[in-house]
Amino acid sequence: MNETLDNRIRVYRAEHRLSQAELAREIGVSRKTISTIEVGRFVPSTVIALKIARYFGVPVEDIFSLKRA
Amino acid sequence: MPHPSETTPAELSDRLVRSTAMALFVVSIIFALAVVEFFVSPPTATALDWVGMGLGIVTVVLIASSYFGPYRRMKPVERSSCLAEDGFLQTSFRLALARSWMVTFVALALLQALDNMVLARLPEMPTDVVLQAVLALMLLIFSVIFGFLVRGEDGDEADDRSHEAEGRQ
Repeated sequence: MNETLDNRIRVYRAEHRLSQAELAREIGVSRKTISTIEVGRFVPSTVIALKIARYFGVPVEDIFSLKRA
Repeated sequence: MPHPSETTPAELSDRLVRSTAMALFVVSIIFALAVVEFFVSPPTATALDWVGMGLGIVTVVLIASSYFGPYRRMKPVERSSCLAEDGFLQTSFRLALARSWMVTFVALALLQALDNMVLARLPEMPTDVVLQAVLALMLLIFSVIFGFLVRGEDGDEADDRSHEAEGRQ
């Protein structure tokens, strides 16, 4: 069974009216890192996932979830 | 709050990774030229030597522009942490290094196994030329894999820019 990592970063960004570059700066990563996570091309480390969740003030599983491919 | 387009340590780290990868590609070409020199006539070998030297200068400039440019402006804490940062480019760089080592190992093992078919047909080569050939192969494979991993643009940059503009209004 193949599972991929789904995320709702774009939704949260839109709610907070943040650009990828702004979120990247807040988290301490590059814009490329945020954009590749958003499109599901890059699976972030636990630290980055937790930093994103902490920034939006939600549990990490609200942003990231496993999806059957 | 600083403007988002202003260079951050993470962006500088990305730039450093990109230029290091580019420099490794140039080094692979230099090693490949050194191997080719062994097979060509002395005047051509001399010309290739000059090309190799020129590429060597390009490599030094690439590395120097990364280290002595924006990298130097970073705080010591940022410098020590940015290379260990687990961003997309940094992870891709490590992955490309690991895969290039693996592919080179398999390629060399295959060459060894097919000794009579390939290696026996090549002229006797000095050890340093063989080492340069292996290094060229490994670095070239690294460059191809890294280029493949980081190819193209991701996400909706255009949308992102319009969002930024919207946010500033």
